[in-house]
Amino acid sequence: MEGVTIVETEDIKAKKPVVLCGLPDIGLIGIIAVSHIIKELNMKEVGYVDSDIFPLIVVFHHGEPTYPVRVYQKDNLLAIFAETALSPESVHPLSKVIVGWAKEKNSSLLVSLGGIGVPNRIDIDTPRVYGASNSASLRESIKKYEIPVMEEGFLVGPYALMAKLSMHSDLPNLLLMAESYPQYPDPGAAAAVISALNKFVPVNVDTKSLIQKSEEIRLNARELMRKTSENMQKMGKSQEYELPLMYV
Amino acid sequence: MPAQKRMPIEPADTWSYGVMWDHISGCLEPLTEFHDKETELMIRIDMPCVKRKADVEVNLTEDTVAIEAKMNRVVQYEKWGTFQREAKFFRYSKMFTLPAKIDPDHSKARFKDGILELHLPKKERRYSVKVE
Repeated sequence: MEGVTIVETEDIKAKKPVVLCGLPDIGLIGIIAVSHIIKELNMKEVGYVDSDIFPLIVVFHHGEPTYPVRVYQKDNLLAIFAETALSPESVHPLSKVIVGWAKEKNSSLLVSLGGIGVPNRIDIDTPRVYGASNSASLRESIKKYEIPVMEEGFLVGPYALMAKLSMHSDLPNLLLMAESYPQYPDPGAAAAVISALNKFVPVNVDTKSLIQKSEEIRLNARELMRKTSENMQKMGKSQEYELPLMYV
Repeated sequence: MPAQKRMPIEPADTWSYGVMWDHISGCLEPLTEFHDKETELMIRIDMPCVKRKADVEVNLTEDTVAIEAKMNRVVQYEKWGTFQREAKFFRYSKMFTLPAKIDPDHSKARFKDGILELHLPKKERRYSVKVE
């Protein structure tokens, strides 16, 4: 196998689907949020993503081996979710394949859920969510919903690549990023990002249970967070704290 | 200043494959965030299931930090990881060797939502040089 492949194990029939991405990033926001949406909506596993450059891992759930990066569906909502850390080398091919696959599915929207690491997160009770999009109409919607638009700055990692590749594929891309602990799993920020998502895509997922399970999630996601932090460092994630030259 | 406990430095590193737990002693290694600032070292330690600051013990020397914390409940896993064994965890432990000498007497700690934040002023004296 060369590169990354999305394998559909079920016949995916969806009309202009919305594709949600939950990949390892700051605070594991995307993973926590998408995993919660998958469980709450009882989404069905319909495929997986595999590559010879992914970690040599198989995951067991209820005694059954499965792939660590999987595809879920409920009606016109598709979700791609990774429960393993991804090496910097795999990010480009994975992002490329996700964008190509979303385009092939005639997706109406590719949504990336993530976090923005803030040093004072400990003092923030309700994290603010920032939005970004390659579509002018979506940027208008972001403003209409009173979500601050990411006006200037760098974005690094899989969501950055997906945003970049979506521009060339004419695929509407929406990034929702909550203020988050940079290096700790942050279920509170994941709940904030789901609330923001509800404004664009009415998934109508309650976040109370996510907050209730917050400690359990923080406890269980420690090792994934540590590996993700190591990978983010290799990706040059610190550049997100720099100002672009055009800013001046 | 309480006497420093005998603990291995970076305990997780002595376990197999660098895992962040030791099921024999019921101990977890917490996630930590470290900031080397101009006048202080700042360390944040994430310890879910630790509720009371009275359950957190911080011991400092000029160049080490040792943290021990008790969880408010025993976290039990019926089939822990690939081991498929029962595992119980009830405490966190972590020790750092610091990159600069600190002043333990003027160090500060706060604890909120299971996160311990330490502000450790650097001991080194700084001198300003007049630019002519």
